[in-house]
Amino acid sequence: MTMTSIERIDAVTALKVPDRVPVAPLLDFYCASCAGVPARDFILGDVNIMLRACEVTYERHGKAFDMFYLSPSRIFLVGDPASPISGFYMEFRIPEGKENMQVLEKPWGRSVADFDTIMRNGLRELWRSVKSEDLLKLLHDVGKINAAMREWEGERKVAMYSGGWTVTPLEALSFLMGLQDWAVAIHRSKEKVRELCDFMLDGLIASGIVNAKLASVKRVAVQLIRVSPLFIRRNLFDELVFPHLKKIIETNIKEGLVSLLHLDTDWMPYIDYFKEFPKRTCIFECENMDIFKTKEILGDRMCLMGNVSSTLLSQGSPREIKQECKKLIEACGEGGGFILSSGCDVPPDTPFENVQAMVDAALEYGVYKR
Amino acid sequence: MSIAESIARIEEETTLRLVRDLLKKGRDPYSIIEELRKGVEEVGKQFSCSNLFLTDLIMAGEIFKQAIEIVKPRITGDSTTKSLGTVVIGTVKGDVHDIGKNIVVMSLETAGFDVLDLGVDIPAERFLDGIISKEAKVVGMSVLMTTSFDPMKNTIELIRRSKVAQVKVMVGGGPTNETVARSVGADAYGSTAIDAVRMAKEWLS
Repeated sequence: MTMTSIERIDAVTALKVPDRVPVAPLLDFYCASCAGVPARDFILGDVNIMLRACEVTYERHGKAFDMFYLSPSRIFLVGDPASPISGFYMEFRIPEGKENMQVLEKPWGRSVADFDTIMRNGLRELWRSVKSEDLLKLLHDVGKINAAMREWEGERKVAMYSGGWTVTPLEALSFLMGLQDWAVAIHRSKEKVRELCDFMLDGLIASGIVNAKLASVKRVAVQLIRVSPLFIRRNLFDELVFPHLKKIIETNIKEGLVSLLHLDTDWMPYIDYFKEFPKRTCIFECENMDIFKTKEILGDRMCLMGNVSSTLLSQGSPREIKQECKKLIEACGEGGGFILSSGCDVPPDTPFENVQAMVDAALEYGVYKR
Repeated sequence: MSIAESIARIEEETTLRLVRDLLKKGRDPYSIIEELRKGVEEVGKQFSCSNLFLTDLIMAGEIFKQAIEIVKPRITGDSTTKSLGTVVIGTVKGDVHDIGKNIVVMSLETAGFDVLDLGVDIPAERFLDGIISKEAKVVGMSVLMTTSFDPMKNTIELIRRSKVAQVKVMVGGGPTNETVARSVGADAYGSTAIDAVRMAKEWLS
């Protein structure tokens, strides 16, 4: 029997075998290119422009995507006052052409000596100046996006990628402070960094959960980029990251939410930590790493999602992409527990045929025999 | 423990204390700088082998900077160390990512190159101006997004049409590879900062 996209995603999350491998490239600004909308309008224009571009993209690709995101960048921009990965705290470079939105890292202008003030006054101490009319527009946008997510899941039966985003406090701090000051603070003032991270934890957990509940989506994305094995030592991961990550995931579980772990860079050196999370409670979404080996290590514990490289997607041919997808489906799709996706988001300059090649591969090679 | 060992172990206080002690004992400041460079080079090597981490690399750079500040007043004007040459570097137009670029800048500087770091989101004309003004023979371009390939290609095309067409171009960054390097008209691709130093040394030797 043919499953709906939501049933398919639920099945693989529960490590069961669905009717076919779900296909869910992470689409953000690609939707703008696909729908012929300028990237600037997609991110800054009326929210309906973005929502319509997502619909057009979904329809042009034959309504085959099993999981969809209504612009992660727009979510970051409109943001959440409780989450440091938002426009309330960070400045972004708005696209001039068809490129992605990017975080602008600037000198923080504060120091570890300010941590006590932040802990006394709360994170609002760090808000950027936002005009009240802009704030009202942002709130309106959030309401519209949440309503759209409920509609996509309720009417179209397409799973939404996540309803809320969160990060571990150490990662949030890296974006607040900027990489240079953050790295130096970790080395010089580890205890103070830990204190501030502990302070931030509950707010970050709540941010993910509240937004997921508002959108009625049962997944919270947990971004894991700057706390990866490329950035920090194992002992720092042990002390400043893992306990917080564990609490985020455990609290999500208590709230009935799946943690969609969005992992950038190669996590293989720290893969053993992920064995500690309860089975069927996380989705491991990876990019530049050996997903085949990951399947051997984590395949009986959590659903894997990935990882057609962004360079291949944007520069390769449809035949090469289909071949790569076939390889992924055959190895990672065995026994279920796999979502065919891009490694991080699909570049906006990716040709339509290349994204379609992912869909075609899932439909052609991904069907499970009963 | 030597200065090089100390900085390679990311020991800030020890490194700075050793620098001060050796200066007090009358050690040639250039030999101290050389040791500091060796230490940071070692950090770069260990980072390339995944034995050290990005935060370590940044901290090593910070220690190096502080140590240089301590040594600087002892340096006399007429005995400067010879630069290996000048490298112009930047992240191309449309891209504001600079983590990888900064690692390469630090590695080149500690290896003994003068580096003109143009920064991020750099239009083709500014790369060209930088190369001409510094009479550089090597230029490095960094990207983190595939949408930056076209601006990178346009920048290289502009250079190739100019009077500095012979400048060697190396490219790097997350989505780049040998194929991308060829397609944008670069001379070489480097996957690590060590590669960038090796190529610059080859081209400027």
